[in-house]
Amino acid sequence: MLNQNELSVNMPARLKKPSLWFWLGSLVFLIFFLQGIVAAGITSDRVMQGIFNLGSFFARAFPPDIERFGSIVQAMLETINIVVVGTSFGILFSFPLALLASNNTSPHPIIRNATRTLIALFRTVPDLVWALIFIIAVGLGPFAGILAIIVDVMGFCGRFFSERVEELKPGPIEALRATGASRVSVILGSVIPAAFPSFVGSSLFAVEKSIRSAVVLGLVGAGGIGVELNTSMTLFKYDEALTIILIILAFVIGVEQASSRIRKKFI
Amino acid sequence: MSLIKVQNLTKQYPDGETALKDVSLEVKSGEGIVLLGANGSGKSTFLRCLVGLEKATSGKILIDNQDIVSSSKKQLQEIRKKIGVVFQKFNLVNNLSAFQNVLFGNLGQSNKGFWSSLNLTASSEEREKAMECLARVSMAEFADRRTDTLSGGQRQRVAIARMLMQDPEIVLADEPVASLDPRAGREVMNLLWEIIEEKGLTVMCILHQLDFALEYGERLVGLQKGSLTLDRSAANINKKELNWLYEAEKVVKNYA
Repeated sequence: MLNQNELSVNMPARLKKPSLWFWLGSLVFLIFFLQGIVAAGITSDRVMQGIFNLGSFFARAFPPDIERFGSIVQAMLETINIVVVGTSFGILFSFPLALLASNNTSPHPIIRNATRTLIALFRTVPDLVWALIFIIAVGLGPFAGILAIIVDVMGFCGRFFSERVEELKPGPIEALRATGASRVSVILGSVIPAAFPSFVGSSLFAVEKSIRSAVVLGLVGAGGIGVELNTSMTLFKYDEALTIILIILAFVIGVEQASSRIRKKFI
Repeated sequence: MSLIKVQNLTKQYPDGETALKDVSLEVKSGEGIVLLGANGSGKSTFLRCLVGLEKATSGKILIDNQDIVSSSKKQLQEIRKKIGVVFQKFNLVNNLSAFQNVLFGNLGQSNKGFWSSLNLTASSEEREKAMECLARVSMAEFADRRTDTLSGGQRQRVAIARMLMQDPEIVLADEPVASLDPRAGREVMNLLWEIIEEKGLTVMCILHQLDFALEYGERLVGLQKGSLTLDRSAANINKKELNWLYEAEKVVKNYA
């Protein structure tokens, strides 16, 4: 026979009392949230006004102005150049970086940690900030954009390549080591081929990411279509801005479609 | 003179676990040794130490009078060239062709390194040799197939061809047929031994099947909890005595 009293004593409570940290965390969150709303001056008046302004923007943007279509396309071409050159170099540099950063291929723990820190730095600093830094270094224009994309891609691919390399089964690598092959031969013969499909997948994601980055890079003067968009906007030529936005949209969607098709074929 | 000379080999893992205790063994050129032992007895570790995939804690491993334990990286690569290894899980590079995998057997041999082992850039003699190796294991018709589309038995044949490509003096095999069904296992075992005999290779092979051990081994060596407890010619041993190796736990407890 079960003891009724014992059962009720041992029964877990419906809700466990949250810890002090939970209350503290909630309080901090709430303070920042409310302060944020006040500081940004979000009022119902401004929301209404905003909707009205958006309406007038679209009214002035239609129909899209294609008078400067030629130079817009030329700027788009520059963006494509930035993407193609920047991403290619970025992916290329990511291979050695990833191999140095992976614990199963790195020659020394110190080198591994140094490269890991470098990759983390590339990744955590936003691409726009890189662009601003490179504009100081090489001046306005697409070269700064290319450098920003290279660094951004290295942060992205460096990490994903290295994660894939570390996941590789040790067996085939050991088999080639056991033949008396050098470290480089082992990497070329087993690490790269085994990780290759994943490298392709990550690289395609990097391409998609770079396109979105490259479009925005122009806003800070690092070349490409962003420069045109910035100019049209500041000159209130909204109909021209819409043309630019539509071209960007078409291109980004096109590349993403192509990329997902290639990915399906490969993996 | 002995081809392999192991002296007081001890292997201790960083976590303090002792895998091998003071193991000494001499193997003459052309000998066929079957290594036996229960799971965790240290036989795989022993084999891995012999080719330097595992670094011995103390002791000596002389291959052709060169010590693996104290050798530099370059010397180790030189010694490894003489040793072909066949693994339980085949360890082929799966998304490459059988042919390319066999060519990789050449990786350590040529001074030109990687490029003489890549299908695209290898010399025609090397490519022909790889085809001959594949033909020797009856896999020539599968040369262009990715190895992950092959059966277990076929993959192990490709791995044996890769070992052949290496032209080793010594063959180390770690449970080469444990992943295969009985029929494929028998075929692969026959093939491996044929090749070993035909080339007069020295072999050390871990086997789990006692029938195979008695049938193929000339000399049986048994490990128990990292110590060498059996070393005898296969002719004067019976299956009952071998079973004793696998009851290690009980026996050791009784005598402790």
